Amino acid sequence: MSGDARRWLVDAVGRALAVRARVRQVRRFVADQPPAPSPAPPDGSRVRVGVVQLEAQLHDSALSYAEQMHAAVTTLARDGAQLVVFPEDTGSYPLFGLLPGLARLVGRGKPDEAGAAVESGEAPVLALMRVMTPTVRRVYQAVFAGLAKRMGIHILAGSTLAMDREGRVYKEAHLYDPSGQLILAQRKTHLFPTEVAWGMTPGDEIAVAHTPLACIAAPVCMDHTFWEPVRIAWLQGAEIIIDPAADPNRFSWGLQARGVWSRVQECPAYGVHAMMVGTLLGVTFGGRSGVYAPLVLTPRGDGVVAEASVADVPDLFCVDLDLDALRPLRQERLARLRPDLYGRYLPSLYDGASPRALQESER
Amino acid sequence: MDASRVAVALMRPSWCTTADVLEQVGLLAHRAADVGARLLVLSGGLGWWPVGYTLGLSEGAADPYPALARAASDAASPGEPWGDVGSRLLSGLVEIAAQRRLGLVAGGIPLPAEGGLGDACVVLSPQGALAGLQWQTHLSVAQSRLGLVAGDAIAPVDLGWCQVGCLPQDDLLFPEVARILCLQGAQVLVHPGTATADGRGALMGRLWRDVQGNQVYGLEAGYVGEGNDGAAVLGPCELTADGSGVLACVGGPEPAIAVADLPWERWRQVVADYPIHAYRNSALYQRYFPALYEDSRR
Repeated sequence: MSGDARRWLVDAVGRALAVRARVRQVRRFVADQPPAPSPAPPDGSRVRVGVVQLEAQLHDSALSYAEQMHAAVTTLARDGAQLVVFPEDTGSYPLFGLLPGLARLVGRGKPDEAGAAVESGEAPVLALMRVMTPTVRRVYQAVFAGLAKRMGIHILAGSTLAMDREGRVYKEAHLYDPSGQLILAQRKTHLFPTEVAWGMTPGDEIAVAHTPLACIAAPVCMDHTFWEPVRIAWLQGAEIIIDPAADPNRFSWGLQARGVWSRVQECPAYGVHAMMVGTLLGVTFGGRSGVYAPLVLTPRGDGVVAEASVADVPDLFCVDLDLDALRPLRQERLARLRPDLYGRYLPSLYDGASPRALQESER
Repeated sequence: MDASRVAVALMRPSWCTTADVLEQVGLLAHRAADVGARLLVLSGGLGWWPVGYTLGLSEGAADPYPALARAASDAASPGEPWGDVGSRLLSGLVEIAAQRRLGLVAGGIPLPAEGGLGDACVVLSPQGALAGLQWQTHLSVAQSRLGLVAGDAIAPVDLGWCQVGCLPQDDLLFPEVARILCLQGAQVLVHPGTATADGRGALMGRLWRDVQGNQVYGLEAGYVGEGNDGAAVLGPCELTADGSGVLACVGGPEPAIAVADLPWERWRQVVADYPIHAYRNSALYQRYFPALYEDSRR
């Protein structure tokens, strides 16, 4: 197939998907929902956070997708949540079911064929993402901007896909405020090996949102394996650091604690870890969502403020965060940083530094 | 490199004489040498125990710096109490290392540094030579009140069979230190700690984080306590059957050691299977560091 023909086919599939998604119907569905009782107004001292441990489902209609998200948001909003947090991929792969025939291909264990069907090349998954991105993004924005406005709360809606003019595909987490405005779009800056293999592109910026609730950041999943992006967010003022995650492994506390749980010990802040669970497109996701804090701020001294009642299955929970208790810790740690010292080594040591540890170990 | 046997110490802190400190170290070193360990990491604060003894302190050895800071502020000449205690302790440690043919790491040794007195973590070779020294770079408020000066350099120490990166005291709280050490080649991070055995969560909140974040080994010593996690040998989670990243640990009310073999071949495989350093985003870090540190203080 020639390049022109391929582009034509991709455009045609994209247009067909947009029609199939029926975004207007989604907007109407969201607008028709009864509002939840108004959450407590922000007072700068306490924040009530709701966490969605989301069941991964492939939706063949945008409306069924909106219904699933609405159910979670409503439950948490009725429990007083001022901020609701969804996991990574909430606004991407579940909506790939809009592509006719995808579910059948996945059922046969051949998800790559879906990409190959729309564009032959070496990265069929990336081709699939390029086709799907405009549509899933529109549905995602309609659902979460609408729900945030309808319920009068902030929603960190996990992540969706983003694509630039050159066709590079990113993962991007969105934070909506109670007026439905998008106030933070955080691209994933450290890709999981599989995402690198698929040809996705990492983001190059860490942003924070100064909201009436708190200063919020949302590096995505693998970003939390590294202290650097979280330090960057924290130095910009982040007090609530969200880790929207989708981990293709069954729950293991040790592996999971390498993420935002560890990071909030280094950067005193609250960490909110929302996990995708279940099987989607042939991949099984697992984990136990949690809200974390520096050890001294937690009742058992283990860094855990609250957790999902069980791992690897869907759950919802709410918890209050005490920002007044956090702030002295933050100031104390901030005052003890040694930029004069770090500047002598970082970032120059990163240049070309594959860790020497492996080389040294060969001696 | 074959598996290397290492040990970490669980010590009982007390305001005591230098001889008493060395006696406790000697007993633990004997045990470590007996089981074939090539390196023993001792608890932190050792050098300050005799200082507290000289000052006549009776309580507070389990959290030595605040107690010492209070006492020093009351003393007529605060520079006097520690005298040459650090040097004398170091001499004793050198003797034990050579006698047992055992590498030793000891933290919390007050030694003369550029600009005053520093808190040193020393690394001794099995021949009893001073292989390296790491000054603590991030002082606590209590340490600053004691008049200590912070170190200005971070570098691993070459023990021949591995590169050791020392994280004395509160340096552990700042992930920059471990990263700088590992980017310079440290394969084993050591923390001569002063924490008591206060639960798995607390253990994971200390050196464990840096071990996982840099995919290296970690040796953390501590103080006696009620729990089981006072001192531990750590590695990437994938090295352990239960996924905990804890290769060995010890706790309880009596001085003890925990011993483990560091399986280098398996470690290499773990890193090869999931090479997190290959997924760093250096361009991102270049964009923000070091300017953002300064900006955050304005």
